[in-house]
This record gives sequence, C-alpha cells and structure tokens, in this order.
Amino acid sequence: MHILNIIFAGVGLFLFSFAVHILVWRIIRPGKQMLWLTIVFIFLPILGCLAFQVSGVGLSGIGTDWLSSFLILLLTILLSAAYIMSYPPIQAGCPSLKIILSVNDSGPEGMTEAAIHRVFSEDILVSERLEDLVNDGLIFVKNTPSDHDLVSLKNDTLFISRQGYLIARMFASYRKILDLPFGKG
Amino acid sequence: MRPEPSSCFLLTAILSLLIPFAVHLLLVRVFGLFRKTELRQKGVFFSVLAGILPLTVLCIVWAAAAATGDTVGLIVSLLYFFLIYLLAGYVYFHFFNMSETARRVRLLIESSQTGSLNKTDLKNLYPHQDIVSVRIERLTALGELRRSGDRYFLGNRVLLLPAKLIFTLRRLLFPYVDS
Repeated sequence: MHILNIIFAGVGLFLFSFAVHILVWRIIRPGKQMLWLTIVFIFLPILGCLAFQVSGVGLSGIGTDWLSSFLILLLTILLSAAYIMSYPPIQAGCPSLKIILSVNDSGPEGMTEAAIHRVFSEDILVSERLEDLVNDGLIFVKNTPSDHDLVSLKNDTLFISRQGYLIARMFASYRKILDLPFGKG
Repeated sequence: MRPEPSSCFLLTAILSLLIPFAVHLLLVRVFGLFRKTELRQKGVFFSVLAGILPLTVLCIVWAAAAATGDTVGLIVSLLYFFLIYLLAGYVYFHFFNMSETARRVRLLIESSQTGSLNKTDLKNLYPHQDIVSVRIERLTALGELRRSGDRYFLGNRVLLLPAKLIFTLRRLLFPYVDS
C-alpha cells in the first residue's frame, strides 16, 4: 500500500508543521506572520523530506526514492497552502464571517443593516489591514511611526515596497487573464 | 501489478492541479458566465465542481496506462488524485476570493497604481460604509443572509460552521487578541 503510506506521511508532515505553528504563534508571537507561515509550512516540510532523503532513512513502507518524497511533499504543501489561504480570516477576523456570527447570535429577532454596521468600529477595518501590510514589508510609511499604530497616523504617505508591487501585479495580471475588473475589496 | 508511483502518476497529479483554473477560465472568459459581481464566487465554486469531470477522464486515462490488476491500490491512487484535486480547488477558490474581496489586496493594487497613498485619502477611497455594505450584498447573493423587511436573518448556514471554526482557531492562536 505504497500510495496510502504516502498519503499518511503527507498528512502527518502537515500536522507536524501545524503543531509547530501553534507553538511558535503562542510563544514568539511573530511580527512578519506571512514569512513565518512560509517557513513553518513550506520550508520545514521540504527540509524534513530532504533530511530523510539524504540520510537514507526511509519512512516505513515508503522508501527513499525521490518520486515518493515529491508526492509526499506535494500533498503536504497543498494542505499547507489550503491552511495559509484560510489564515488571513483567522488572523484578521474576516468581516463576512463576523457578520454571519453576529446575525446568528441575534437569533429570531435578526439584525438591521445599521446594527450590522455597528459591529465594526469606524477605522479598524482598514487601519488593521494597513498594519499587516507594513508588518509584512509590503508597504512602508514615509515617516516611521513611533508607536507602530497606523490608526494614529493622519497625514503620512504610504509607499508600496518592491515585494508588495510584485504581489499587486500578480493579482492584477490574474484578473486581466480572467478579463474581470478588480474586486471591491 | 501494484500501482507504484511512476512519472505517469506524477504527471496526472500535476495536471489535476491545473483543472480548477482551466475550467474557471473557460467558463468566465470563453463562455462569458459568472461575470456579474454577485455571481463571481459562485462561478469559482461551480468551476471546482465541474472540474471533477475532466479529472475523472484524466484518472481513467491514467488507470488505462497503469494497467494495474490491484483494485485496492487503484482505489487508493484515485483517492490521492481526488484529494490533491480538492485541495487545489480549495486553494484556487481562496486565491480568487483574495483577488475579489481581500482588503489588503485592494490596498496593494491601489498603491501600485499610484505609487503611494495618503492615509487621509484612504477614507474616501475605501469608506467603512462600503466595506460592510458590499459584504452584506455578497452574503445575501450567496444565500447566507436572508432579508425580511428591514432585518437580516441567517440563510442557508453553509458558512456558519467554517465561521465558528475560524474564530476558534483565532482564539487558539491569538489568545491575547479580542476577536
């Protein structure tokens, strides 16, 4: 059952990364979270697989051939990518999901549109996402904020970094390929 | 003969990753479907579902080429293909959603077009009212919210469990942050 073992190894490697992720997040509380996610969920499994491969210690029932390792990594990285794609709402508290939970909590009375709007504070929806972009090095502020609190910045200018520009272009090109206008955010 | 991983197996696995995007591109660009704002997310979901058809064809071609006599091994191999297809579909769905709904992506795209943004301009560019209203619209279009008079109620509840899961994970990872 070679392929079944590959599936178990791929899922196992992902679960290991996930455990490391929880530990790192609770102990270190990393600032550049996207960088840390990449390290924990992409580089760590690759290094793990390489270590098994180079040392010649094959996992039971799998062996040490490169093709098997690649198939394990493919599954692990897809699981990791699925988690990483789900991570922004975990980190930022997705407004759509917050609306669903609030309406659910309102029970049979429901909520008016004004009440849903009141769930979110005026500034926080954009300012917190700006802070994330600054922390991840995708944009930078001309005058370095003294307290890292972008809510308090009134007239500062935000500049996009090279990395941020590449990501913006990637999404812009993708929408162009689909021939769709930019999303409303 | 057991279905051991081969280069043909690897090729099938890699091709299956491309199916969600290929089907979505075909539906949106060639057939002009799911282009309206409120239908775009449904379009990706439908593309991932519809992609199961070409995936099945791909699996049949692989099975014929592998010519295996081991039924259990064959089923496990198909399970691997479907697993990575579903994961690729999930990742693609979120990638599209990011381009459609993510505030960070929109901020990056706005910044990349002008080179810079003044923080005071952001309120006009991205009003709080719009951020919430556009989400209420989308959730209503998806059937997640149901409007009755001037009040909104929970609709089909498909996203309720993921919402609870996400906020549970948020509390696990960020116990020091108010969710």
